Amino acid sequence: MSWELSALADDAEVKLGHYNTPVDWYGVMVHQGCTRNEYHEYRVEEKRFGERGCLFFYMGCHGPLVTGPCNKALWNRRSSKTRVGVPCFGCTRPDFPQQYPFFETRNIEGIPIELPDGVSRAHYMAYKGMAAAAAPKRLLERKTSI
Amino acid sequence: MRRTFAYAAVTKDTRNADIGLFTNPSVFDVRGSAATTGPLDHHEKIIPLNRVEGDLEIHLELDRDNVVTTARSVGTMYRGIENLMNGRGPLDSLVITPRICGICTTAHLNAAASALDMAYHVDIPAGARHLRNVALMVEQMQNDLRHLFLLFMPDFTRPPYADNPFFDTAVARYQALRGQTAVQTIQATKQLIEIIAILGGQWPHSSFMVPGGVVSVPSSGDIAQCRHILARFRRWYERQVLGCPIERWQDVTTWDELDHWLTEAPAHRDSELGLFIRLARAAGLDHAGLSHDRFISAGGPLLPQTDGDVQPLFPAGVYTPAGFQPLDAEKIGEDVACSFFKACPGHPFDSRTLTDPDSDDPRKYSWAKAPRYDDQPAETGPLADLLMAGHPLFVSWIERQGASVFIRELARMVRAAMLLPAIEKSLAGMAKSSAQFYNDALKTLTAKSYGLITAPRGMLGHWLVIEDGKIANYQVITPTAWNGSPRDRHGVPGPWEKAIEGTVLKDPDDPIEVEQIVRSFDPCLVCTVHTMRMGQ
Repeated sequence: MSWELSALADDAEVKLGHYNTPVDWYGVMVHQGCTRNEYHEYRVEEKRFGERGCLFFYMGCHGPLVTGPCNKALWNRRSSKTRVGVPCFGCTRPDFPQQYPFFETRNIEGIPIELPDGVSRAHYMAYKGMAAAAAPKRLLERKTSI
Repeated sequence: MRRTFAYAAVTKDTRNADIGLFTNPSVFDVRGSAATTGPLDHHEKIIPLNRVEGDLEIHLELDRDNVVTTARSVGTMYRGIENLMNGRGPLDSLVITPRICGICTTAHLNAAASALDMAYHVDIPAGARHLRNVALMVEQMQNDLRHLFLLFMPDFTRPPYADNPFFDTAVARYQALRGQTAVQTIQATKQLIEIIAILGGQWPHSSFMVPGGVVSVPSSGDIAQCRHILARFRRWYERQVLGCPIERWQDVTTWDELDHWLTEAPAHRDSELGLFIRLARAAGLDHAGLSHDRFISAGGPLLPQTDGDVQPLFPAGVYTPAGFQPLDAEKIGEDVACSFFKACPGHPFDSRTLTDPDSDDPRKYSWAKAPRYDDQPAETGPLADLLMAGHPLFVSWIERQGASVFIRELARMVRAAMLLPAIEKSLAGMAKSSAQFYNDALKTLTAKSYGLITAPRGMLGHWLVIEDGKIANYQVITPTAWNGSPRDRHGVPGPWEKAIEGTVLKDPDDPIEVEQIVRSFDPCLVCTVHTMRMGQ
């Protein structure tokens, strides 16, 4: 916010996107920059708090669904919810707080109902199936530190 | 830590007897209780209060000598977060209630998580307890110091204090955005809360505490960074705020020892603490804002011991000059006789948040409810915590003088001297404890539970009723609800209402006395909401 204000003070052009939010900060998904992206990539998912995996499939994470600079600018210059294992709750969406429970992902046959912004379900299911099959052991056994 | 000696009762007549440092009041003038002053030539005044968190009005009735005969604390806005919770899943409280406040957000999370711990009958691992404690205490310290140097002390830079011998020093230190101490406080506290971000993702509004522990698993590197930040903060606190090492300050247990400490070294005299004591003496803050002298604290945090047990840093209890009683949560209730709510049972398990804005009842004047313990008002905050711990400096003061603006702010200034060593221990404990930070919780479908914890401004409670796996009732009682409560059905004023009554206003158009008294409770009303009508 303060960066955007100082940009305005400098007469810089401030591009606005959806919901009139500044594109510089709200033009990225919350997921972008999350240190757990490698888990997401290979569909190594957390089912229980503290397991250290991706939070998207079971824990209700909205990181790939909503835009926000949480993992770009970082909170308090240090971290973000998703980096420490708290799912993103999508607080930048107009429907926050959602009318279904937090901390769980609504799904069909194990695949989230809401898919990452702009992705087709058929392609996504094929990609995630292959990604899970390709997951390296070091991730599955949580030998990779996050 | 719990005291074992009995307290001598004090009568009101002895409370204004000066002791030790305070002999020469100048700005504050108090005429005793409102009952002794004639209500002749009444006039009324409404003070919108700034430099508090949130929106607050104080309605005063003054007599012809500008003595406050009646003070009414008016919470001008409605807080309906409780109603937002009904029908939702129990874990949703971890996401929604921390957003009640952007300052005490970790405290709300902790209270919500504690209520769920109780509902699900789950023990939390020592590592998780350490982590929760560190976050909670860090939040308390940032609040205490921001309140002091950004909200409270700037009053001494205002025109009514222009003749005060410390005026120039106060301006140099506390002027908004420019004062040396103000700038340092912003920098030091901003860095301090990075600890909460490292352990919990972000500050404010994270949800890293869950029933059974915490979701995060800090690495040894994370913990080392926290310890580094804390060490830096401690150096600043000792140099700038105390003017001496914490260990030296801990030796001060009597008012004679405080006098000695003050003259012992220029660093003591010129530190924030030293300056505050001298400034408070010149301003007469020691007999300003006397209230009911009934204190309540949720105590804590519970520090894990090596034998697997837990020990509270501050005991939970109720303190009056007559003695200490352990806290009995069953005795907590809310009265709505003077609040814009419909009558309902008093205990938070049974009470509801049913607004009554159009009531014909002339007694009603506030959107805040009136929390009561055993049907009586009680004051909460850092002073209450130090009294529960039996801190001799504070206990002896309350026994002889009663709680005042001075002693409330002094408690806020030195609480960090007790918290810092505890945080250091907890971080060390976290580094040593096993990697386990979470226990699986069995999600029960029906439960009644509560979480009572110490937020920066005092006791915070969340009460939770779960039916059919959903929240059937949620009630929150914040510290400011205690301190800024309106009158109850017996007509008994809330703590800061009582503290204002009897104060003489030098200039009714600039009632700085009232503002300082209210600020000494560190009011926070941001948990109220602005409402808007759509489509009109």
